Amino acid sequence: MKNDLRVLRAQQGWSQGDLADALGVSRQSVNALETGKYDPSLPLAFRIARLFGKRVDEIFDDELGGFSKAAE
Amino acid sequence: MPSAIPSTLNEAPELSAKLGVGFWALWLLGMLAISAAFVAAMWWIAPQMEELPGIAMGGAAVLVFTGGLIGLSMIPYRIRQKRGIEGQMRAPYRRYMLRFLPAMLGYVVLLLLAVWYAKQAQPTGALAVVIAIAPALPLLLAIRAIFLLPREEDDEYQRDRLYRVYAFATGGTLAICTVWGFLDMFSVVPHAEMWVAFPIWAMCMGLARCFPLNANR
Repeated sequence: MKNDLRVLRAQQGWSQGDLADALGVSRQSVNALETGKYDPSLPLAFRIARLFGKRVDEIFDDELGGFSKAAE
Repeated sequence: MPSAIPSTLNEAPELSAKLGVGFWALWLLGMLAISAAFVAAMWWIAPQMEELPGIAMGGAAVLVFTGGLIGLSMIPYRIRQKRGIEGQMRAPYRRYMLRFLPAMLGYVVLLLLAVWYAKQAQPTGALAVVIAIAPALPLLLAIRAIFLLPREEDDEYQRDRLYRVYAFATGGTLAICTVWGFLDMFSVVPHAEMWVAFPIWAMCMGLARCFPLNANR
């Protein structure tokens, strides 16, 4: 799943470690999320969205576009 | 959704976290050298293990070489820690170490004592069972420590990775033991005791860590 985590983090001027601390996960997790090696669980996805003041589907893109496009 | 990601956003610590091929080659060589020295030392000590001084020497050799391997295996982590990339060891891992290392120490001591006592007293019946099972008990504690680690891991990515590594190791162990078992049955290979399953599993786990067993490949 694609995501904009790296860009959002940079906009805040945070390091991977800062974001990891804010989310309560390891720095390796942030790296795995940013590089697309790991998709977060639903609770973590919501924590990430809440932290950046966005909706989950504004940060994560399943590249199918079905749900968010249909809802609009 | 912004599409272009500036290359400057590639975390600097992530780059310096890579320790270079030269470092890893040296590190691997060191691990192999310690393992080879251990095998050579045990080769020399093994015939003397009928008597108590030989048993003590064997125990000391196991402790020294295992300590060396653990010390060397910690060096990459320590370097990352010094560069400020790794923080303190996280609580689940600290608990794992506090469970696993004493269990292995207990295993070494009980194994050497059991082998020595069995040779001296040649026990039979229930006592033989007790002596035989004694070295396995601390290994059960070590196995417990291994499987408590992902249960207590509070980071979902690390937990996911651990379970993947365990699954790979379990599959590898089943494959090796199945093939070896049949080769053994037809007397094509030397007979292997069943307890080798645990070291094989540990070896497969080490191997699994070299592969990118990520959820999205």
